[in-house]
Amino acid sequence: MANSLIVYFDYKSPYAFVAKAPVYRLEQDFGIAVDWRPYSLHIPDFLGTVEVDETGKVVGGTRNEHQWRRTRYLYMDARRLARDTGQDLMIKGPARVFQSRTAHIGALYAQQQGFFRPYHDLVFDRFWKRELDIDDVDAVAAAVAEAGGDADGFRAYCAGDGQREHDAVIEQANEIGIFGVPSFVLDGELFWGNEHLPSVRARLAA
Amino acid sequence: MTKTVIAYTDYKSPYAYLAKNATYGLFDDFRAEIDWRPYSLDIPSYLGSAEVDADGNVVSESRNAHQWRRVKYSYMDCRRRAERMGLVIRGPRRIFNSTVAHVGMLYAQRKRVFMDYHNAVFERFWKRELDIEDPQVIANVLAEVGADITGFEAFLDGQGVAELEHIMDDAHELGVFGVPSFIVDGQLYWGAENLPLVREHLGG
Repeated sequence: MANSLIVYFDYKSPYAFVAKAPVYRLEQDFGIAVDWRPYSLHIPDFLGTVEVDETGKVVGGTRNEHQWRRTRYLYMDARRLARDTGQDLMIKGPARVFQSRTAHIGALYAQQQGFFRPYHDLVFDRFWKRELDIDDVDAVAAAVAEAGGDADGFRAYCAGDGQREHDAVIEQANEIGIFGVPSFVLDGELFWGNEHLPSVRARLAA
Repeated sequence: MTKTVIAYTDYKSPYAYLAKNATYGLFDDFRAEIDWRPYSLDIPSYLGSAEVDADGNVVSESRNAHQWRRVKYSYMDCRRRAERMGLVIRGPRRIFNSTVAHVGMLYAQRKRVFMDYHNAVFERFWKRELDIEDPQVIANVLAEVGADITGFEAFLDGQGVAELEHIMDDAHELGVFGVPSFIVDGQLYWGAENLPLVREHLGG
């Protein structure tokens, strides 16, 4: 039985962060190699935009009341989920809306160069401690180096092929019907959200 | 000690429909009192809007590509879940306004026919057999499940709508934005997938 499992993640999603360890466990328990793919959420499409001043005070944007309630809930819920699944994760609300494109290009680079796991762990951890700007090329290059990669190699990739390859991954995701993370594509069937992890696990065990 | 679970629901949400019986289970298994409350989702505020004709062709829309993928996934996911439960879910052709049916719910609660009304409205709406926006249709359901409907029209024109608005304001203060949502001991849980946590809470 050869199952294929694609997992879409985004460093700026707290739910993707909380799903990381359980996915590692799936790899371990079922001996499968998960195909990790970045999906750069375009937050304004579903949670509107927020403009903040230098002190972090909200001064504008299109986020409506519904979207504000949803946003507040999701951070509370992701923290609760981390706690309930026995994970000691620090999840600080981000200071602004991030794109994560640069850090995702870093993920593709790390996969090609064989240091994905340490990079993945480091970027998630630091971002949610507000210690890493995932949109900043220099900051991501430093993370690449710390995870055992070549910072200059990343810079070159990010300035060249990385952009195109990133866009191709997103385009393919959109064709599959991806719109949020974490998403799991198990043998072609799409599941969105952490709550489907038990269901993915059950299918792998069957 | 008996606990109360506030359960927010909306007849136009397939996820709320799929969570209905499992919510009844909170009473069956834990003797929790379920405080059912209507929450009228403002779908265009997060999914845009669209209308399809009888053949499923989109005739008007204000939805971005993200919202379309999300909507398509939701229906696929709901059907996948419904199949396992033996329920029928047929995608609505447009976005309905559930105000009348929600006022009907409040009326049914007063007349002590809530559960029969709740079951009938959900099941028929999702088979596309019930127009939840039509006051006469809703009055008929109320009568069918045994309510005296002489006061329904007046309730719908006045107190019922005011009460619904009050419930909505209250929900927003509690942070509710979607259905099904559950509140137990002040903790908000959105989505049927959180029912195991609600059960854990009630059991512990």
